Amino acid sequence: MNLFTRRRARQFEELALPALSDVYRLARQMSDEHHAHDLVQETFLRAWKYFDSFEPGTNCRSWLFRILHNVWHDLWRQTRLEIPLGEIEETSIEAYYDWEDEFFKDELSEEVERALAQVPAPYRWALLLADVAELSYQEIAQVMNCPIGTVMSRINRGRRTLARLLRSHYEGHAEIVGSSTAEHEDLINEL
Amino acid sequence: MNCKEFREILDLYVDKELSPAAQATAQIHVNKCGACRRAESQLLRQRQALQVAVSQHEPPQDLVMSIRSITQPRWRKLLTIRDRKPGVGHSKPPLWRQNLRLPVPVFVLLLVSVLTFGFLFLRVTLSESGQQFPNRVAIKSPQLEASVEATDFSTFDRGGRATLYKAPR
Repeated sequence: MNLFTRRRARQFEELALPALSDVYRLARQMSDEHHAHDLVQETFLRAWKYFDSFEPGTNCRSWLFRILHNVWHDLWRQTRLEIPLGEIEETSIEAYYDWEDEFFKDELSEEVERALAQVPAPYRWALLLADVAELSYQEIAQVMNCPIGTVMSRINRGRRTLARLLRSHYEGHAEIVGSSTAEHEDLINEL
Repeated sequence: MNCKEFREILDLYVDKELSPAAQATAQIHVNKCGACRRAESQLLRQRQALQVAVSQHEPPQDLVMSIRSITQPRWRKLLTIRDRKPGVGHSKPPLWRQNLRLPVPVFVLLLVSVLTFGFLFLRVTLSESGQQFPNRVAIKSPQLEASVEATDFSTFDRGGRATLYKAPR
């Protein structure tokens, strides 16, 4: 291992490896445990291979999330006839957060994960990148390779969808995502 | 700013993506309006619940090791990469590669024992060899001794060797 490679390896270990847990958690929410393992491995392999293209001083986490998003997109395109990541028409933005105070008193992690798994993939990505990874809208737009307006729309719809699903669980009713006519039509338009 | 307008920009307000002026205007409205303040609070609680739910997962150790080995040279990877097959898993290295540590007193005792026995063994071996061959004389057989005594060595240096070795007919 020559001096150049060693220095490159050290930089990679200092910048990229600390984000391993965050990358894994995102991958875990966008797939099952087995696929998350492969997604993360492929992400870091690509990151190491193209590490020279990373600009020092920029957000390495954001760069890794972008690679993860591309890897996930490639995998999902191969294995599923799922919704491709297209544009979403902007509809009226209406907040839907109005729970009783005791709603979040108990441990809700399992219910939240279950509800999150039902959120459509484009919204789920935006939701995770905004609320969990806490990236800016500009960074999310770069990760997902879409305009900022689309990012805003997906974040809003992701939060509303998750809220609706959690409320349904809280109220004890089973609800299928996409039962709303407007959302269903938007998803079909993406195909 | 009224409630409808605030609800439209609630996400940007919570994510701090508004311009400074818009952020200040929204802040003023939230301070005055209980319903909008509650909506903001509920959104933040949902976000917190999502963060807690997602953060409970940690990457498995074999994945961490695998990722760490990406930057290592190939020869080191062959020594450190573990098999992912079930049942094989984390095999122990052979005994000669294990970093075995002994307590110091045990180690000293072993060393002293080895040296002592080695010294005694050498001493015994050397003393036995001295008794059997005190003058370091080569082994003599009776037949050889007789033939040496019968040989006339006076003709030896004058080419008499040939006569000595003439086979009697």
